[in-house]
Amino acid sequence: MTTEPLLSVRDLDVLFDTARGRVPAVRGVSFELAAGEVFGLVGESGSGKSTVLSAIMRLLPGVAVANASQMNFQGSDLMSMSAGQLRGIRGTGIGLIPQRPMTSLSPVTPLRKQLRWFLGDMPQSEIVDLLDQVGLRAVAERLDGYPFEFSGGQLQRLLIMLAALARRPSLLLADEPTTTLDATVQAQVLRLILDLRDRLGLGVVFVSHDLGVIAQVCDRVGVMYAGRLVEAAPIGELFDNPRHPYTQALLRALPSRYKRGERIKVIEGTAAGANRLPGCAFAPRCPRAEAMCREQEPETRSVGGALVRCHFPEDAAGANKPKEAAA
Amino acid sequence: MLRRAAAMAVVLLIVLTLVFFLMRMAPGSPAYLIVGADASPAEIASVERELGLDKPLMVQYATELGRILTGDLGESIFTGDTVSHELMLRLPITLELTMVSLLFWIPLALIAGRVAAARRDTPLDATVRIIGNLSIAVPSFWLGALLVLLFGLYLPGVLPSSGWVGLAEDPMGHLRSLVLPAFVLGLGTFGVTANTLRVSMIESVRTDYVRFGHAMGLPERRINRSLAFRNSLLPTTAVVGQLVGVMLSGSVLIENLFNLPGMGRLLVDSIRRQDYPLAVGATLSLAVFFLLANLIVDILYAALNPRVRQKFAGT
Repeated sequence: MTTEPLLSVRDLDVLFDTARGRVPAVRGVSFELAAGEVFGLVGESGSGKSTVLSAIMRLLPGVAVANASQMNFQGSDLMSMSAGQLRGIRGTGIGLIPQRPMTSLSPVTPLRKQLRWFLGDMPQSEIVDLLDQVGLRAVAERLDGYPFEFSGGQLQRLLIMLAALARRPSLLLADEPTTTLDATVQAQVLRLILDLRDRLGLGVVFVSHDLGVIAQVCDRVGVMYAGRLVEAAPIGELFDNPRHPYTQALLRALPSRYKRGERIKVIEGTAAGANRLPGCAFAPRCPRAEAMCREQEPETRSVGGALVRCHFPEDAAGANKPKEAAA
Repeated sequence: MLRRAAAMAVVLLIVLTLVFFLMRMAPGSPAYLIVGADASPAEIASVERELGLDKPLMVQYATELGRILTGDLGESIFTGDTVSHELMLRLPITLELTMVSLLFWIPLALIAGRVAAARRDTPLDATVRIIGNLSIAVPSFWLGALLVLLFGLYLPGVLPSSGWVGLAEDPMGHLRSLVLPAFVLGLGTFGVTANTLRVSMIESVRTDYVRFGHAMGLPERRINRSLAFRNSLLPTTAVVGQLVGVMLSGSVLIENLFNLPGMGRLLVDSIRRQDYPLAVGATLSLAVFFLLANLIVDILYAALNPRVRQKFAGT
């Protein structure tokens, strides 16, 4: 018996129809997620990581066109589901923690009423119990208040309660859930997500641009660049032994790796327009790029414990050293 | 609240000052009302002395201001009746006309805008947009004149195209006499209100709360009503507030076109007759009417928006 992954995405493409033609936002992204696993998606803004989440939820804006050879959630194909079936899966099968808790509830309706929309006629005692479980005992007494009367951290924990706890979905999508929160609150929210993962066996896709946050919560990480998943590896492997030149450059740019006063190495150039290039999207900024990198799109290959989309991935032995080092 | 009352007082003072001086800058004299157009200069001068119009302008202004501050609007030169009595006869008519027009058009606009947004880019949506834009584009003096002609000449007896029937003497006739003027007066508000609601609801698709609602699998109806519509009522209410002011100035035209004895008619007649006290009284009361309408809209807005409501309560 083979265990079916909780979520399996194969060759996901998302195109945006714009005035200047079709712009690819996500290209050929594939990954799998097991129950109880936290898979991180990391990348710069515009790299397509949040779009992947919207595509899984089938909540892309009208101008987007999504295609995938497979997008299975618990064995059923999300791509072929009707609007009604999707509505049945959203919230109950797949939960989403939004990026901006302060604006993700209606600003003009008291919390109590909004909770009733999401939870139905749940008895007050159960609501209080749910709030208690996410550390919001105090909020339970202020349910007649409006969202703007609560802090971002409180609202995010409330949304996590709604998305991940109240209706027990098996898959949780977290879309940069801590970017708008300050550092201490950020830690609380991350701990809460991990705690729910442990208690409920949730599978989590965790999107962030912050490698530090990713390192704290994820079991596996996918690095995205210009719509591509360029490297995916277990967390330890990715940090200890990055193979894609973009991953290596990202890790080299981590401020924590530098001493005070030392100059941080930045990645030269910009990712703008890279999603339209014919060859490898990272080629223009890559120290290791050869002629073929600009012409031919690299296939995903397995190197050690990682999947890497590069013609010249650096393996553990240190072969294919960057040219600058070899020279 | 206190700041608001002060601002209203300043607006009224400016209105009073403007009307006072503009009226007196116009050639002619209200004395002609009393002694006739072919009176001798001596007769005119004597009547003007009686009315206090021979005094220096600033003295007249100060006297008038002092009198109005005590709540006395004076007497109409033309009818001899007190201005406040004249106003009490006319105000209810304009008030009722505006209210009836709003009560007819605004609910219709809310339904149309909401349906159009929900059925975006369908023929139904297109129809609402075309009718809405037409309602804005059609000049009310043209449509009004056309309706007067149609119902007055070609379809006599269907609907009264002119005049006013008191509620007490004939309730049905009263309502019927309101139909055409109320229809024309508020026509433009239909398009503006429906468009505002429609655009606001369509744009709410991009808000975080609508996205979260979808992500939680809320039914489409719930998202439309409780998230998109409810939040879109805020910009829509603000726009309706502006429109009430437009309707007040529109009532001047409509009342004259349909021959309704309301404030608009009173204003035009009193200015034409250079009936200084009545013109000042009519303008001031229209200004008060306008300020109160704005206040009501703001209170409504606060009732819809908890954030504003708290600010209200805080001051």
